[in-house]
Amino acid sequence: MDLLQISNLYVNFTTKAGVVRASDGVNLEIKQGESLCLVGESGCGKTIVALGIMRLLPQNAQISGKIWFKGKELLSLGKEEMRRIRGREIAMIFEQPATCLDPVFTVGDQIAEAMRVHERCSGKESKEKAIDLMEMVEIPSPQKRFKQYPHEFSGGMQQRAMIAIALSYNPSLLIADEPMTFLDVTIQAQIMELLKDLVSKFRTSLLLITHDLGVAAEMCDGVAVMYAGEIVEKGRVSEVFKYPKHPYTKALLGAISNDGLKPIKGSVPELTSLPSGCKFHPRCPLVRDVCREARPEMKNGVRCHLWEKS
Amino acid sequence: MGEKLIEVKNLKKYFSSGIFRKSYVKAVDGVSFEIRKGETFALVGESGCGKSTVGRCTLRLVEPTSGEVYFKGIDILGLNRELRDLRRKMQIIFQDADGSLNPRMRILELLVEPLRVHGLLNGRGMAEALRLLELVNLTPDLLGRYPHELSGGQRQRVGIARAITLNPEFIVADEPAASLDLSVQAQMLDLMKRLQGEFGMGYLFISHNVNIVRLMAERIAVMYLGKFVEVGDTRKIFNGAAHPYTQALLSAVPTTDPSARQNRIVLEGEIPSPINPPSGCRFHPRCPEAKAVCSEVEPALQDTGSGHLVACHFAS
Repeated sequence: MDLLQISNLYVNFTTKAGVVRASDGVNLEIKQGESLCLVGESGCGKTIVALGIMRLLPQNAQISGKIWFKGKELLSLGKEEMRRIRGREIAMIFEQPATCLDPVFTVGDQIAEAMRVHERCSGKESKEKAIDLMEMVEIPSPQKRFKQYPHEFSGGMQQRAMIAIALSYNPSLLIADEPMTFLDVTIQAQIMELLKDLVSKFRTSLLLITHDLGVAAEMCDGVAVMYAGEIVEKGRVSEVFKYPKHPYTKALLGAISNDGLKPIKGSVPELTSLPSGCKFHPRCPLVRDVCREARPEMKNGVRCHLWEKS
Repeated sequence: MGEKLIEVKNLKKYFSSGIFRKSYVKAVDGVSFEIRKGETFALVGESGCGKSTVGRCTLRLVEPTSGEVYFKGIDILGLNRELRDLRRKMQIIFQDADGSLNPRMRILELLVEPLRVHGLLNGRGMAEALRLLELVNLTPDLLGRYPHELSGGQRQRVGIARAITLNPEFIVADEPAASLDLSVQAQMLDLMKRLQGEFGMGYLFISHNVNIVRLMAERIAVMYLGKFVEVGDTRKIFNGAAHPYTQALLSAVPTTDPSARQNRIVLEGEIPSPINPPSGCRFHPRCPEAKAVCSEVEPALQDTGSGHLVACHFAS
């Protein structure tokens, strides 16, 4: 059974420049223990989907669709019910741990706070558990580090602390939004190993959001490629990256590869004035007349007219 | 091989910090390299390794603590007023086009500003601006707009156009594509290559991205804590890196190709502070192959054959 099932998620924002269609009918399923990666360039709506699941979208967002999680429909839950799910059942880590940690409390306090809130345990107990958690995420000398403030932590260590907080209540689903993007490659490799180990150890499902196809390929079983608010291709990582079907996926994989530079012409469309038909058609090398007119349906894991016939 | 364009010898830049107890951040600690005409030489390394400081010292945008920098044989650190004229020939492209374009100027003004500053305008501003826009594949309707009205890719193109306005012979490109999306990144790098083919500039290309460096540069230098640990032909280094840090750096890059993923070296620990770098070889606390000698004696950057330089006691 699917742990999370998103069906027809639409998220619009009304702005002075027009209606921004940030998520334009997204369908997605994550099974228990599966790791799925949402890849795409900036502004394609991947973070909107994550925030939609967490019900953290801004007030002015117009949301429609259904998000099923363990038999509950998240979008229709009351505030209190959602609070019980958020952080316990579904946890999230973000791109910049420095902006998520409170600079005036020690890192240890903030990890212990998560324990106190969720488990209602005493101060001393929560401190012990926090130190265990810090050990789990391989923060060296946790006793000493417990009393330090976020600015005394390096970026990699801050992200470890965030992972400790996120996994403190053993959630069923962890959403990681570009968790390694701003880290250096050697540190990124460390965090990748750590996340992979912990996710398989606790059998947590993972929704990883990234623009880095390499990270996606190494971390996840499944992948969904997003472009301009919709999913254009999804499937197993091993298949999609080896035999990409959608021209956009192909172009992304080939843009900077060992075979040289193959730039994709044009740029990502404005979400206020999306192209008609297939949203990728103005940039697609294989464009045909039908692509300009009709929006392709998702069939056999790809949203492309050229694949509908075969 | 073309003529020698840039020669840097034993460049050092220390930044002092602290009020009562002076300490020095050794951002760059003795690097030497040459760049020839039409060549791309890349500096790769992680944040804080000093690669940007090398770039800025080479243009004398930051005053080096010691060392020598020659542009076509002219010692630019000894120049005063003449440096201003020489600057026409040496330009820089910044990572952050947002931060390097004046938000109050229109694109037209931004494009002709270098000409105005050097007194070369002579009423040909508009023609020049149109020529530049065409070179970087932008449309003339952008001339009246302000930087915030452009996309990130377009802004970076304006940054590149400004750098080539004065027909420079040498350009420092400091992470020119790092803030852009993958599809736009490729466009930008392609553009830089095309311009180099057309005008034959030498590039000092600074990047943390190993994949990009591989495509852009003929020769690369890998930096760690202010020093070069390995210098050589791009192809040679990618086919057989000799320094353990280079090996780890290359293997750490996530890839979509499962067969390339097998020999991952995950380094322990983090980059030490450049205020008091480790004794001996600076990489020894994280090095998987460190021996006793590494913590005592600093290895020299030595030629292991045909210009492949490595700073490691055990490089074969």
